[in-house]
Amino acid sequence: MSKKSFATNIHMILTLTVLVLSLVVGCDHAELSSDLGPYRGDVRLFFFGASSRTIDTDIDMRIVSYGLEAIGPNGSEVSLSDITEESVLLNNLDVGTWQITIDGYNPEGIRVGSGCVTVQVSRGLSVQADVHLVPLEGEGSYALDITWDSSEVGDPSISGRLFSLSDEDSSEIAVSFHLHDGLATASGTLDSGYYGVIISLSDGDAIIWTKTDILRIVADGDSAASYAVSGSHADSDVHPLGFLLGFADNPDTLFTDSVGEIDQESRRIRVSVPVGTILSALVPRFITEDGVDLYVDGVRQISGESVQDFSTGVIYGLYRGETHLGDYLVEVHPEQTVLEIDRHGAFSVSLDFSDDPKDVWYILTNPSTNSNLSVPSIGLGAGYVSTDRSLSVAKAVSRTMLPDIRQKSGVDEFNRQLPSAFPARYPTSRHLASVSEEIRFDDARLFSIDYHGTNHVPAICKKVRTGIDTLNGTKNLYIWVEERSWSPSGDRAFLVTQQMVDVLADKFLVPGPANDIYDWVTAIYGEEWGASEWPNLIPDTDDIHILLKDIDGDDSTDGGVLGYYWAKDNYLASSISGSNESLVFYLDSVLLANPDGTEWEADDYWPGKQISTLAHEFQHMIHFYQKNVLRDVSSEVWLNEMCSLVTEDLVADKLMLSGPRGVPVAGTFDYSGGTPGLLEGRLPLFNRYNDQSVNVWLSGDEVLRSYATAYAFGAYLCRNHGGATLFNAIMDAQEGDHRAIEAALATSCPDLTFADVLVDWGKAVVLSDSTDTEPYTSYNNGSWFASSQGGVEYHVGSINLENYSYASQAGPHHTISGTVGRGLKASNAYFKESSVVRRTYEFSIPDGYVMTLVVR
Amino acid sequence: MIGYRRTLLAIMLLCLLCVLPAAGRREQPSKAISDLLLIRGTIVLTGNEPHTSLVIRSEKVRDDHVLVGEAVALLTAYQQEAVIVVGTIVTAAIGPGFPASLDVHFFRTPDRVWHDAGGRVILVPQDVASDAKILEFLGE
Repeated sequence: MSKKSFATNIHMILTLTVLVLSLVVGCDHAELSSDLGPYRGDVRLFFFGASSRTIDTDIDMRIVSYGLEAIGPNGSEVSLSDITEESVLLNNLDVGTWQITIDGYNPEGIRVGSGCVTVQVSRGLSVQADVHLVPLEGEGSYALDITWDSSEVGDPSISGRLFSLSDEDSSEIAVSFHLHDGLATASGTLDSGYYGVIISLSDGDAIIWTKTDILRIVADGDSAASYAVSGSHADSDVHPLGFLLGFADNPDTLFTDSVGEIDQESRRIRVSVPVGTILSALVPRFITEDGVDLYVDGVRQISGESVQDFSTGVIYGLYRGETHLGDYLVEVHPEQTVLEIDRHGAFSVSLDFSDDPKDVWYILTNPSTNSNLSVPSIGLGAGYVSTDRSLSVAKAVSRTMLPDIRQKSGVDEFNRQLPSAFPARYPTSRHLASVSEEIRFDDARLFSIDYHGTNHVPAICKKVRTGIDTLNGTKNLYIWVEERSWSPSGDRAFLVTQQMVDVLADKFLVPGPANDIYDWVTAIYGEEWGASEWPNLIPDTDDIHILLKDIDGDDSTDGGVLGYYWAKDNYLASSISGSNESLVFYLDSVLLANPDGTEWEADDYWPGKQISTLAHEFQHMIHFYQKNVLRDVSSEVWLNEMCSLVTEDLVADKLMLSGPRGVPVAGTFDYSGGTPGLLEGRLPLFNRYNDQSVNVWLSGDEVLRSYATAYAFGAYLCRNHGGATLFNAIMDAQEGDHRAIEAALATSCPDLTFADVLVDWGKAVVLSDSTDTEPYTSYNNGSWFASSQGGVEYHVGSINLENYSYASQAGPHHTISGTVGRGLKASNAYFKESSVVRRTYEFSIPDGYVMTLVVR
Repeated sequence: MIGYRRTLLAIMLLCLLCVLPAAGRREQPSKAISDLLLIRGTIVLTGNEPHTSLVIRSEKVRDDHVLVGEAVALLTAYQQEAVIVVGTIVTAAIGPGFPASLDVHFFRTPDRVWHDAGGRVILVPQDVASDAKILEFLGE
């Protein structure tokens, strides 16, 4: 047997796993269902265990009762025992993340199975979760006895073999029998799990009896079976051992191997293949017991050679010689709409949607975080008709559609008109942290705006708000306005007024819990500053400063840098001479003061952007302390900016702003995916440049693409992997790159890699106009995605990328023929053909890619 | 004084080359070549806009060096990729977020081609070529 065919056989044997087991190992996330009470949430759990016919063990594996241990936020615990129903309702759980473990007990009270689930409890919502219990791990023993009439078998020999049905990598295990007079025995130990057993009794060279069975090994248990050979072979026990439709045998028809599910009870084999698969001429592979052949319509079938038309069910007859042992109905179902394809090189596959034309997407994922790949291509073969040949390409960029943040050109762009010697009324801003109690309304100071402290801005304190209780203790806020931006004496296009300062202060820090940007953002990420081991950093302080100035001195009224945070200010001036020695972030004053009409309103376009920027820059401030100072890691820009962009997203509904999602807010916050024609936020540009690397940050004008990619990726993570809780874990991770995401996912999805996340993200992009997708592929549930962290609840709205337009392009950019994307590291690229009737696709896929087929 | 310094550095370098492979490290963080520093690591952009820094990150995160000089514009294109840079320290590390900065004189791209700071392809730099242990370390 060649390695390939052997591997194939093993693969086919694994089909039995599907038959015997319906278990899922690991913890799953729960999904939301309906509205309930106002302050706490409920969880309904459903238990699933294994129940299948196997060789019995001495341990009764029937689960008749359950025990429950749940650990929730802030040390909350719930414990239940002797649950006899297969579901349980947990009422009034604290809002937050709950880790729930279920143990299953047999009638003797022995624990025989266990399962766990992570549930996110949200205020007023009922969560439903399935818990799949799996047998405990460990070694168990088995014993097999075969008896026969020794007078009828003159030259007996017996062979046996086992196949693991639980481990894909396991190989065949030989079973050694001891023969006595009319008796053969075998015993041994195995890891817990399920094994296929094949035993053959021969008389001389002739096989006179064969038995297949399923052996179940449980930890510390003994599994035993006895078989009596009487007369001829028991026909009803003969079954196909595996059935496979493989792409190696059907290279022009199948993308991947499809393993059949064998149901011995109904004597059916079910094979699932992608929608559009041409079923009229497929070559299956199968394995049977030694000496058993398969026939269709009287023709002997050769595995890997015989062609069948599976457009309707095909009856395979099992024969041993001339003896008909029974029939199996094989049905192939073209039903898969999403399929990951691990196939590379040059190949062609045809799809047929004659009955119902479909949109066909191929997503090309380069999962490598550090290597670009050669560019893949997908060609359209001739001779087939598609009803849609329209080309989707990017058009000229409309100036009015440019997003509103551009890279700051430099850090020493100081206004050239400022005099070199400042009036004596301006002290420098140094030591603000330590002398905050001295700051009073209308105090004047100089703020350094470069690294070396050579350029300064004279500013006046226009808001002093002290002694505000927060989740992190008492905090103080000081808002400063540069003189030339202050109304009415300033010279900027739009000038800041006291009303604007008051609005900013009210948005950022007001008395009361969980009611301002400070509370909402620190609840996710932690405190903005504290003690450190670095003597050259400013000491612990509760003072936060906001400086409103015309950033870059450009007097721009329609874009530019909205704001920034610069960690230089967290240092003592003795280390960085340009430090302002305070926790300070900067907002562009001209844009803040720019009204939609003649009267300034807080929810006008640019003021709204600036309020959202408060949350964005505050995340950067916290990020520096939590990552650089406390964890000694400097995050990569894309990760840091992604956290800030998602922060804007998480607080958008609280601030009644559209945020980076860009769905307009008109009176009420719209949590839906909006309507076609959306032009605001980050997603129009993502739709155009959706093949960008996630972990590469661009510069110059291209930086906008990086912002767009970072938000699109972060928004996906936020909506599929725990929202604010996930971003808390990202900040808590010791890493500052993609590994921070893997670490954050480790609790809920321990086996999920960054590469897996990229692949799922690609699916979510394609499926974003659907509110009913598989887990981890959703941008859009028609409403909000809820999460909670630090005692605060967050709701982010749905995203339907088809609703976002960039120039004349609506929906995600894709190619329809030829090269797909640019092969960039950690990226997805998209191919789409609409309304396909029948098509042959010609692929050239370099090694390393994961290709995903999506049929809509 | 200079001769003594070079001898001391050579001894330190030899010790480094002997010890690190034995410890199973896949990469070595940095080595001094006379007044130059050779660093093998990954190019990443750190910080937040608009105050970002292109750094070379050796396996140990604390070994970040901010890259400065003419080569920076070229090296930006190699984000997340493994390169070797040779240069001189121009400012010392200050603390979190402000590691030492390195003026890059020449660098080796992932395709194992050496470039000067302006991006012109060069043979193995003389300062590196003069040190057989370095070349052995680089596999050249």
